[in-house]
Amino acid sequence: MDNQNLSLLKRIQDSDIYFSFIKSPTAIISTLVLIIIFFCSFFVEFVAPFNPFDPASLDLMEAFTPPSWSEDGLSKFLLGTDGQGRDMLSTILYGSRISLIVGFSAILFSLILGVALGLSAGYFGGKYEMFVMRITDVQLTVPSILMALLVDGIARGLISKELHDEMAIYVLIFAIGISEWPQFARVSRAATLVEKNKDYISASTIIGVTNIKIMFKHILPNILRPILVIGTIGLALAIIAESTLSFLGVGVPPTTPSLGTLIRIGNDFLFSGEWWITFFPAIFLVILAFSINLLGDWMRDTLNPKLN
Amino acid sequence: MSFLKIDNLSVNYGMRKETVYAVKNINIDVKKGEILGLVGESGSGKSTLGNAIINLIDEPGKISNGTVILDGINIHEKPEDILKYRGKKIGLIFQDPQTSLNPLLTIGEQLVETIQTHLKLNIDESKNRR
Repeated sequence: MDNQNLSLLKRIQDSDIYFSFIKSPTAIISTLVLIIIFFCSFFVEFVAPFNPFDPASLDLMEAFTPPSWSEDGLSKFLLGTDGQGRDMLSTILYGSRISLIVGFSAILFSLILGVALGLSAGYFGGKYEMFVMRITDVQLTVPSILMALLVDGIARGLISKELHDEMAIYVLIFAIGISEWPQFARVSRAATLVEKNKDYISASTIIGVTNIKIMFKHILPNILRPILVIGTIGLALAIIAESTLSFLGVGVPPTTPSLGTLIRIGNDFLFSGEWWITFFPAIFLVILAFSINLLGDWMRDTLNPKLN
Repeated sequence: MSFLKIDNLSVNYGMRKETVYAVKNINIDVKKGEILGLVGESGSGKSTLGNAIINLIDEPGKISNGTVILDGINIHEKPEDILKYRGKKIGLIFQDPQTSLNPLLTIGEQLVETIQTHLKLNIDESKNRR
């Protein structure tokens, strides 16, 4: 087993991807930033200086404290506090966890749906392919935010308000996921059409391998590269979509604030001079989305065989 | 007695205005143990004939008429019939080994897959047969 792990490590170190990674400062920096953000978000209980959801630790007298380096700042609140006396840094870290969970789950949902439909459409062809691709075209004409608003609206109509607050995250994941899948379907269909005409697929057909096995064992691993690239860039889009929806007030309930909710809350105080409440979550969102996009760009350049 | 008998086999491609025949009324008789070579310029239908015998013609092409009798069995009688014979009674060896193998799997894994598919063995048994 140790030998296997060692040889895997060696294979990774010898690979072109590893070489391209260590030669690209952009990729290394964005990966480091993402690792730090992911670590802080998922181990937030240990990293954050305060728990903003613990009412006992909040003091309204400390509300609207500016960042620590300004004149009225307090050293224990590095990035200041919001209108309820919650430490901004801790609130951002807690909020980013929800944003990341929603973003990841939404993109995973759309990836599975889109790839399953695109792969089968490309492989089987005929009327089924036409049917799936026309649905994709129709879906692409609806702007994703509008689609997500529509799904959220329908969900609000169908389930009661109390239940909706509990279900809000799932509704959000479904709403964002359902508007992102056509990208995956299109790319995986196009890549499948290229792969299925190669001899090794005909060879598998000839030796009698089943369609399902050909699709998932032979074609899917070979079309994963473009899918991973749009998946990474889609993750940034999904996180931004989540923030946009929360900003518009149809995302997660205010009791479990995400980055978008924080920006919206801060927006109310922007004109009264408390700029830090909206500024820091916004900057955090920009850094997060920017790092993911840079990593996606690097992946696109590295995994594209035409550029090598 | 012929082992592989191809009777009046034609493959056509339905275009918008006309139907193009890639292979037209081919008759071949091959006896057991006999080796037959097909020679022709590129585009003359050698590969199409090979693919047609094993029923691997992709859309929009189709086998318009003819029968393929292998060892006394009409392997094209029903479209699903060919699945029973492919890899067991009849096979195809591709010209270019670079594209005939899945680039992401080892040769060993692909050999095991063939053995597993045909002999209904589990992975360990297939590896021993390799």
